Amino acid sequence: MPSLTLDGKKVDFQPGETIIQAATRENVDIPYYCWHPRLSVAANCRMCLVEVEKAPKLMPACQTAATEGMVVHTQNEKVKDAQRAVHEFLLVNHPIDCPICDQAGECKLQDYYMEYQLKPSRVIEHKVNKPRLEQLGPHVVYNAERCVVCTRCVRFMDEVAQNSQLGVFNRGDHSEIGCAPGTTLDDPYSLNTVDVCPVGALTSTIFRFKQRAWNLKRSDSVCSGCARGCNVHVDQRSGVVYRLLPRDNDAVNKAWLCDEGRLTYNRPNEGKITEALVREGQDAPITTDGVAGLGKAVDLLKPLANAGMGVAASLSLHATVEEAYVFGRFVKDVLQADTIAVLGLTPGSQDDLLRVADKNPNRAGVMAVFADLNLKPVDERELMQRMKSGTVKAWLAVGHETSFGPELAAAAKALEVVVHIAYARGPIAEVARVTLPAVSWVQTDGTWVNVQQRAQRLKVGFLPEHDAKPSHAWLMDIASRLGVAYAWPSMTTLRAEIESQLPAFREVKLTQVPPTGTQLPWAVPAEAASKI
Amino acid sequence: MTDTAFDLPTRNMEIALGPSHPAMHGTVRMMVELDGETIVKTETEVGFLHRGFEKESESVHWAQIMPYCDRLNYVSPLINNFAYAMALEKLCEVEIPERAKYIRVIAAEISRICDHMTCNGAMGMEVGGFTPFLYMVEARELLYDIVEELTGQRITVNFARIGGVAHDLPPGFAGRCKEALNKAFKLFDDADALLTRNRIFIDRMNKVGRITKEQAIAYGITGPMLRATGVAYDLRKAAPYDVYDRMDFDVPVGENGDTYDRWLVRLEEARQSRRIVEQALAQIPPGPICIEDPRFVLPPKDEVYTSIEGLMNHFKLIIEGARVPAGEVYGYTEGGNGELGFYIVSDGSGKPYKCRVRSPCFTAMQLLDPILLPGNMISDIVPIFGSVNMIGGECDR
Repeated sequence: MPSLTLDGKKVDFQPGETIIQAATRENVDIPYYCWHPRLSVAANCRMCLVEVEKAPKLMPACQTAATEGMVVHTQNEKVKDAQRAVHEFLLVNHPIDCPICDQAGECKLQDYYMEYQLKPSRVIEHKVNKPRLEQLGPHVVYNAERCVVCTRCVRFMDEVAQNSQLGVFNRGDHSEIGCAPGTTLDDPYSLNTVDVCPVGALTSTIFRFKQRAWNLKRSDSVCSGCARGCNVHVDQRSGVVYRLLPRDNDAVNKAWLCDEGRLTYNRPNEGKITEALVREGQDAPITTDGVAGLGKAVDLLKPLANAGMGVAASLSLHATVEEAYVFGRFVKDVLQADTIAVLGLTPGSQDDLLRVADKNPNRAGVMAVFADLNLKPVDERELMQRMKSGTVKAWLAVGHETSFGPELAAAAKALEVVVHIAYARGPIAEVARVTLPAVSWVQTDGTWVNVQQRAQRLKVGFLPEHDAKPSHAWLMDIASRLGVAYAWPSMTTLRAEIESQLPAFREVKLTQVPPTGTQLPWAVPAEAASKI
Repeated sequence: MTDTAFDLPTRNMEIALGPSHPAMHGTVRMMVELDGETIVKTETEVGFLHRGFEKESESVHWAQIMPYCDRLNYVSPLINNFAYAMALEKLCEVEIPERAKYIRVIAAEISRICDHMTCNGAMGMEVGGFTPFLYMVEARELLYDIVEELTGQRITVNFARIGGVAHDLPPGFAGRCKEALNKAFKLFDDADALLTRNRIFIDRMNKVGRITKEQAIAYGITGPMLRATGVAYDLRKAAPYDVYDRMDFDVPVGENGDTYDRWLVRLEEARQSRRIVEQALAQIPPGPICIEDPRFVLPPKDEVYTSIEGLMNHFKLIIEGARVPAGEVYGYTEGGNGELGFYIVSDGSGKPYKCRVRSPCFTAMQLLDPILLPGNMISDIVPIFGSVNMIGGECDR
């Protein structure tokens, strides 16, 4: 393998790599704005200049190919001078905006100022004024004064979104990013430009002025927007989710996330239930505590248990594999329901990048569990039909996601018993006799299987509030009240049982899913293909 | 035992002193086992004022710890500030300006006087003399006024910064400071005259609560308690910091290591501190009061408001904290009660990885149960305990 000398240390590299790629692998810090590991090289910010012996000038590390025997210095005075000077130039026209800038706290200009410049301003001229509030598209706002014209956003649109909606206009210190006259940045992947923007020039309309970056707490999760299951960071504060950002995963979404997925950030917040709802007669549901709600649910389900006649149980396709297993055992051992249904959101838009038509993140997982448990679920239409025809008289609905919410709720209104477990108040909660508070996917410890048949782990970003707990915990509580004791003291024991009991998961280490997921040895459907 | 005496079937009595008791300064509890009025055994319990200073420090920025330091030894908060700042400066490898060193010496010595006045005043009260306490506290209040003039607060001063101090001496400070010292020491001398040669006071204090040199050293005792045993160990002389090497002052020592010697040592130390303050006020040079290092010190406000460089600098220092280089360090000063040290570990981030306080009175409190109290009378507990000068905030952290 060829090698070069980096700050006196011998570093191996693959032929074709650049200096910055070799340095990044060696954890040698070279600052950069325009370079992005997943975009083409522009070498226009000049922040990554390094000294290469025998080269007449400093060379941009992001563009200079590593060659055998090359001697590179990244820490000497000459390089540091260049970094200071380049950074000073970048700040010449930068507005005094940090207190009102959404990027503040996660801005590379601030970070690099502290690391590489640390000198007071020498500018006495007026700063160049440019447009400060340009609505580039439905979700993206552009502030030209803050822009360092690194063209990462332009390159993202050209190369990844394959939709050249952005370009650089004008020259010199009047350069700015924009759309061609009469067009807007309305690509379904437009918000990735906000992520790749190293400064506060591009900001997202859904996050603007909502929270300061340093107040947010971050957890790892998976997007619930569709069956792709893009890996995300969940940023929340005090139990309110403010944004979803892509998390790197080479096997799924690389570093990207669609706008539609990002907009699901509000699902865990909207109509959140943290206490039980109980409804008497035709009245509206009233709030009560979890213990009373559980008692009520048990009273309602007790006469049904083992009766076996006219009892339906449905599970949302947003449930985790673990929840699906407990649900499956519950309906077999406790409820002996004769109608099993899976409910989920209506298919939506798709493309050849990330989005798939199925908007339910765990169809593959739930279906695999049900198949192994010998449960033959019907769809939502069939469930409605059976309710209308009177075959179904009682209904246990786990999860609030449905395709025909109001219609289904109207059909369910006539039922004698509707017990609901959900984290948000939807149409079913309005007709249920009891609704027990569950937790959303950002507060759940569980596993989803995406369309690529990849098992990915959800983590608890923040603890459930009040009486809320995962739906499988409620099902276990109800089961124990009805005389069936399940012994799964922890998620690990539950997962171990799934591994040992279900043939589909026998080869899978469900207990040890790494942060980027595990590919399951299942047949991958054609719609899983992606050009990302 | 004479033949007229006979064994009464008595049992030892256990009484609980504190934690809420007017004589238990701060909050401390002693389970005292008494045979008649003689102390057989005591069990001292500290920690009632524990606020988790060290753990809390790990979750805030370096600069945000400064006001927490005020709440350690709250009678001499400035010394705590300086001890913490000195530890950080050692780690950051910065040298503070001359003027800042002088300001630190002046402020620290005023604090030491306050500390000794409080302890000795309370010691008079402990044995029934309320007047000297009022004199001493009134004197201390005059000095607190000076502290307030300098820092803006009597106690919660938040005055030190990495690389210097927060404010310069206000105009005319030297004159007012000397005037306050004159007034305060007049009261101080009155209290001294009321007690030091007082027969009753001497009887209560002399040869009570004795420790030897060897015991004191073995237990790691520092400060006036150590010096009262005859060991002339004072960090300002033994390992001079700031500008103490330029100051002419004596280190008073006792002979017997008893409560009376501790009283005398503190009296004399306060007088020596006054000498230091007066010398420092005379010598203090003009110049900056803080370093100008953008890595640790906030930029001037006009730069923050008018340039992006200044704003970013300010922003990063406030939001993420100054990045103190990775490493570990022990910084120390001679506090009111002895060696006040900060052991700090940095992982290079804006917050400490560990911030441990070596508090002098926590060490001194160890002596109570094994050496100081057993064998004494119950009425001696309070003066002996008072002479240890346990400050809850510092001991319990």
